[in-house]
Amino acid sequence: MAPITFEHVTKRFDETTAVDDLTIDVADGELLVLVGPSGCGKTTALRMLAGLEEITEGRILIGDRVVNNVSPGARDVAMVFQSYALYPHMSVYDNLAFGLRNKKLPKQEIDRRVRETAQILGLEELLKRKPKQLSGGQRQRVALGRAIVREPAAFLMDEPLSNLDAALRVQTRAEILKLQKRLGTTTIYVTHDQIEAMTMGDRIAVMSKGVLQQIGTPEELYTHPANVFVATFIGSPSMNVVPAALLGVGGAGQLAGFRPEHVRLGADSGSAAAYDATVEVVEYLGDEQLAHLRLGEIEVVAKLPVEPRLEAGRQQRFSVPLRKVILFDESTSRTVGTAA
Amino acid sequence: MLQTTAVAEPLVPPRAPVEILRRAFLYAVLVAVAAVFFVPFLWTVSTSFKTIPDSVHVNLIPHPWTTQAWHEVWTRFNFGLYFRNSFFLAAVVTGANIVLAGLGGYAFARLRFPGRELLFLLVLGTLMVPDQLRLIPVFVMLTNWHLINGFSGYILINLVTATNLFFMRQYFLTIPKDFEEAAKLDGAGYFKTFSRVMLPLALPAVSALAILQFQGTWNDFFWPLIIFGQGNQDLYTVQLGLASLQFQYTTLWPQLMAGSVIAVLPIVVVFVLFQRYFISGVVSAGVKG
Ligand SMILES: Nc1ncnc2c1ncn2[C@@H]1O[C@H](COP(=O)(O)OP(=O)(O)OP(=O)(O)O)[C@@H](O)[C@H]1O
Ligand SMILES: [Mg+2]
Repeated sequence: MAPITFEHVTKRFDETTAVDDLTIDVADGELLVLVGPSGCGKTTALRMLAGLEEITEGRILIGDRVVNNVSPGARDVAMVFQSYALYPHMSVYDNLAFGLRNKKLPKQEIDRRVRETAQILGLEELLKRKPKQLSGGQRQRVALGRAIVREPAAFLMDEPLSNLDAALRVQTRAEILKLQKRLGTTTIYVTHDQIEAMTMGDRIAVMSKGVLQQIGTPEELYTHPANVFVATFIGSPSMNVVPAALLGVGGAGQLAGFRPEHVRLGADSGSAAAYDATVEVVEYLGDEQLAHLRLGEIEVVAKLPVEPRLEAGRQQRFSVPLRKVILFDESTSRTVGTAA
Repeated sequence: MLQTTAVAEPLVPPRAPVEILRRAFLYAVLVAVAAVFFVPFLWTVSTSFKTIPDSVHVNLIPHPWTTQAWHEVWTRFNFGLYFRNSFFLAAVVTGANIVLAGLGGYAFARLRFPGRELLFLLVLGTLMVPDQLRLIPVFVMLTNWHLINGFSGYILINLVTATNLFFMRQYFLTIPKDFEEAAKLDGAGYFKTFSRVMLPLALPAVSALAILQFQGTWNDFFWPLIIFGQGNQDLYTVQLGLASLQFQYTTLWPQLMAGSVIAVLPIVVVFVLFQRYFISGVVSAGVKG
């Protein structure tokens, strides 16, 4: 167990800069989620930490040791691959034991740890099987087990759930979380799924195009996004961003952002921004309704209680409390403050 | 109440008659083709049990039966020794090729070192040079090193072939990198990663290489003849032994055929032993997605 530090880490592949001046501190025992759209450099950052990719500039520390020039095997980190990468010719037992044998641990110790890990993950019955005789979910657990059994300083997970179906993903998500809390091992978890990020992360680091956009708790990112990218990336359906003038708030050259769930039907008191919009489509979700509204040329989404039911084609007045409206600078995309 | 049908339908409907006919036809063709390939072999076996006068006739059943050819091949013509010589050479050359082409192919596929591409081009380049062209230089070289008239010269020039190197490299390139990276993180060094992870994953390729190389060396006539085939008969391989059964004016057909059956057997054994590893798909299971 150890804290992890990225200090101004940059990775260049020929022309592309995959990771640009990344600085992150991960506390001991923390689960940090690295999230961002495809190609933003999440995997590259993780692989540099694992030692599978050279670091172009900057330093990475595990504990207080600079690991830039330490071989992957000596970094004491365990990685769960998206593909699982279970050794196909070895039984589950041998898959789990491989890393321990390389450490030259005594036989009984290896056996004890493998059985303990198998018990934690419910793999006892499967120890003699080969990976191809396992279901997708079981393979996933073996991949986790291979990381746990080594009792490393940190777990690195690269989209470990992306090969599972939706139901299993939700269940495994909770299991990983429980396991991580129980073991208290520092974990960096990569995903492109913001819901996964929100539900799992102690803190979340949002990346875009190799650059860290913001790092904070799920709540901080949700309520105080640093810029338009984070504001629209976190949350589903995503935040509406419109020219501030449309709502009659802010100054020139500013954008106003508000979340669909903060939209109210009808004009509120003086502390709200109100606007008229045409209801285009209504998605009925049972407990609430998603209304797609047209505001001039701009489409915004509102998440409203089912009552009263909205009708498509009608012109309606909507409002958003001013303290829920976030203002962004149009040229830099950075957050300026709230409209309140 | 659930509704039940009066007449119980069979659980699995039988094959349609057309399908049965199609299959019958398919099997008939397969049997015919198999027979075409098998008859010459049968002929070989049959002739080996014939007498010399009978051997020029086209009857498939020997008349009279005799095991004399077999007996002679083993005693007078010393095929037991030739067999051991051939086996020794084939085993050593195959073993060396598995180890060296495995290591070399892995290096060419995965390790980064300066001059790798150039070196690999050189290896490929040797594939363009026909054996006949190499004959004299190799012979002169081995003579200068006093490696002629013995097995060591033959083994030396066959330690690893460019074809095998190329073959293993190509196979290693198809194995996903994740396995190696997982092994690295599991604390395995280069050699352990190779021997415990990559080589086992390359088992289908290794088996193919083993079969083909064993067969190639076993059947090799040209280079054994050049390097150690002219003097000491104790160095003869099975192939050289077979050739020695053909004289200028006569050929001892039954003996030649008995020798041929002996020559074929190890190949059959090797193939049966290794063929199940030919079936790949071992690799695909570990990586999902
Ligand atoms: N080995 C490589 N050589 C050249 N460019 C690379 C290499 N690996 C990654 N890149 C580039 O670096 C950038 C970041 O890639 P990376 O794999 O880290 O993205 P990612 O955030 O993990 O995306 P995804 O969610 O799709 O997995 C991409 O533009 C990619 O094309
Ligand atoms: Mg990735």
